[in-house]
Amino acid sequence: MNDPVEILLVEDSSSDAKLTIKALKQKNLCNNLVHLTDGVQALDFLFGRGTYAGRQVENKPKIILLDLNMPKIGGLEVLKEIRNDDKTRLIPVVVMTSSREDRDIVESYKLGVNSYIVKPVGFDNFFKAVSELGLYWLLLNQPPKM
Amino acid sequence: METSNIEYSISPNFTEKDIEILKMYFELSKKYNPVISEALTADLADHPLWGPIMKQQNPEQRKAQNEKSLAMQHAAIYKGKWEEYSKELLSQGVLYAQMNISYTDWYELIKMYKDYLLPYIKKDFADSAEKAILYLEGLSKFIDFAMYGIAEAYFAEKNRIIRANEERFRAIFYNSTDQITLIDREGLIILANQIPQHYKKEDIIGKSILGFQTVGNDEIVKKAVHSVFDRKESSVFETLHLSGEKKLFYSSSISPIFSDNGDVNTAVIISRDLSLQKEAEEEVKELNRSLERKVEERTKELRDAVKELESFSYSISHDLRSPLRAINGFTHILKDSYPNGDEEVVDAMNEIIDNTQRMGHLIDDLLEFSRLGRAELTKTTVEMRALVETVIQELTRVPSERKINITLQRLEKVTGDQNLLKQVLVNMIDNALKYTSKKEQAVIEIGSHVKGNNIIYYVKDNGAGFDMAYYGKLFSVFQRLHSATEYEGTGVGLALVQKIITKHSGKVWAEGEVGIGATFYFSLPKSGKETSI
Repeated sequence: MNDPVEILLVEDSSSDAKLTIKALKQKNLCNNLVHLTDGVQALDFLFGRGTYAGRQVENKPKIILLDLNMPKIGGLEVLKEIRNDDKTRLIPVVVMTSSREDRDIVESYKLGVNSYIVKPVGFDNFFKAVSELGLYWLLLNQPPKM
Repeated sequence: METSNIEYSISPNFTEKDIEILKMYFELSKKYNPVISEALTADLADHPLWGPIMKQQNPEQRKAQNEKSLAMQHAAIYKGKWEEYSKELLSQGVLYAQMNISYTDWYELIKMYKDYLLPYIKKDFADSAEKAILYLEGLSKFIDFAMYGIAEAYFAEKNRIIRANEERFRAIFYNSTDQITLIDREGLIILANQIPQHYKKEDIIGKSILGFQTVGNDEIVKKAVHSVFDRKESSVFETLHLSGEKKLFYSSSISPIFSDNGDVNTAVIISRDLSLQKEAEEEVKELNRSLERKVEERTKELRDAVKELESFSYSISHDLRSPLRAINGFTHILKDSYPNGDEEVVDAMNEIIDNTQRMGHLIDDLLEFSRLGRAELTKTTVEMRALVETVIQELTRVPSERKINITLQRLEKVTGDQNLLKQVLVNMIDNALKYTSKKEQAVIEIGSHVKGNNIIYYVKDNGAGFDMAYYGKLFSVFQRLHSATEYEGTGVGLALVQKIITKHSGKVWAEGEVGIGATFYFSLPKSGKETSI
């Protein structure tokens, strides 16, 4: 449970999660990936609450891939909580969603998202987008010391 | 002019002696009549009343009339034909009344005649005072007779005229649907043409206008009464009355009645019941109000419906795209897992992949279409030439073997939303490129011209064209004139174009011929204001 986490994938669609994981795997970026399926789980995980009580919250993911439309607590709310707390505010968050609505994009950036990706329908594009995303955030990007 | 029927005559009771002296009078009158008549006519030429009347006759007519009158006098005095003569006098009386000659004026004339005659009497009867007296007695008897006859007819006619006039005014006064009230300086009612319901005549006449007509409106009426008597000015005022449960609305005018010396001792108030009119006005207002309420309700319903549609299309983007992605993605994975699979199976998997992708585009276009419907325009000056060049560059970035000849004509700048107009150009130019793809040499021309207050842009190509018979479907969503295998597309492009141009108050239209080509036009208002093509 306390292995270092690299990617936190918050995604309620199991299909999308599987495809995302597959894409990341192909680039060998998937060793320390945690997949959660709603906002409540995500917040519990990040703040060591509920089912994740006792988790070492210092063990922060290098990147959070966040879906917007999820049951219980949605992605935007999760993003807001992350940015509101000193412990989590510096974690890079990439919104990955089907929504290309302006209000979602604008709201995400207002809340301090690092990147906003509209999931393509076509597998080739999707695959390319996810793997490039993984490469960029995990290998190229220089995060601040947390 | 109407005249009285003179059915009576006057028969004088002259004695034989009377007749004798009348004869004396007549002889002298006959002798001097022409001279006196002429002198009198000359002297009265400038008289304000008689002058104009006399001018109506020329000397011959006057002479003839005098002779006729003398002949009738002669017939009366010598042959006793008084009846005929009196009739003549009576008709003269009627005439004077109708000419509006006052009785005293006429009397003055007779007096003048007498005065003119006196010197001749003195001269002719210088030797005999007795004869002179007899003569004067004859004159006096004759004038009495004549004056009496004329007066009788004159006043009868005058009365008739006055009665006729009064009848007329009574008819107007009492038949008027307006309330007409005459008041004196104290505001007391002298006369009223209508006695309101529940009132008796004695409740009205002699009572104050304030009490009766204007419950609750005293100040308004007081002011109007004051103004009409003290300043001699007309005015209008409006008053509200209660008749049982009913509210009556009156509009009134008050006007001074001037006496001959310019005083105002009477005033007339004319009031009209405008209640029905007011009621109708109120009804119209109420109808308008309820109409507005209805419009508001409907607008709210429509807004709700639009909102519902919005959230519907919003959820489409998630709920429909996700499963598609899964189908597409897992089919890919399947395909990749069996690189040496059965050709038929691979073909089927490719079909699935193509179709999911196609459906993805459809959803994207549909979302774009609904998004545009809600988008607010951000208008700036758009350099259309530069924009067209950018679009062409973007669309032809991928190198191809095709021979494409694009000519740009004059392209006017315009006021509009840069992003949306770009979308229009992308769709139109992309269409032109697409539908010319089967031509050996694609020829595309883009230009504009000004027409009235509008700028008309066009994109012309020598492509597949279209059948004008199906023109009605050209700009509808998901309507296509070519199959997807022939030319790919979702059928949203031109609908989108139309939506954007309509939002700019412009119009879209097209001409085409199968196999020859098509020209697509759109107009935009020159000033960014309304267009009218």
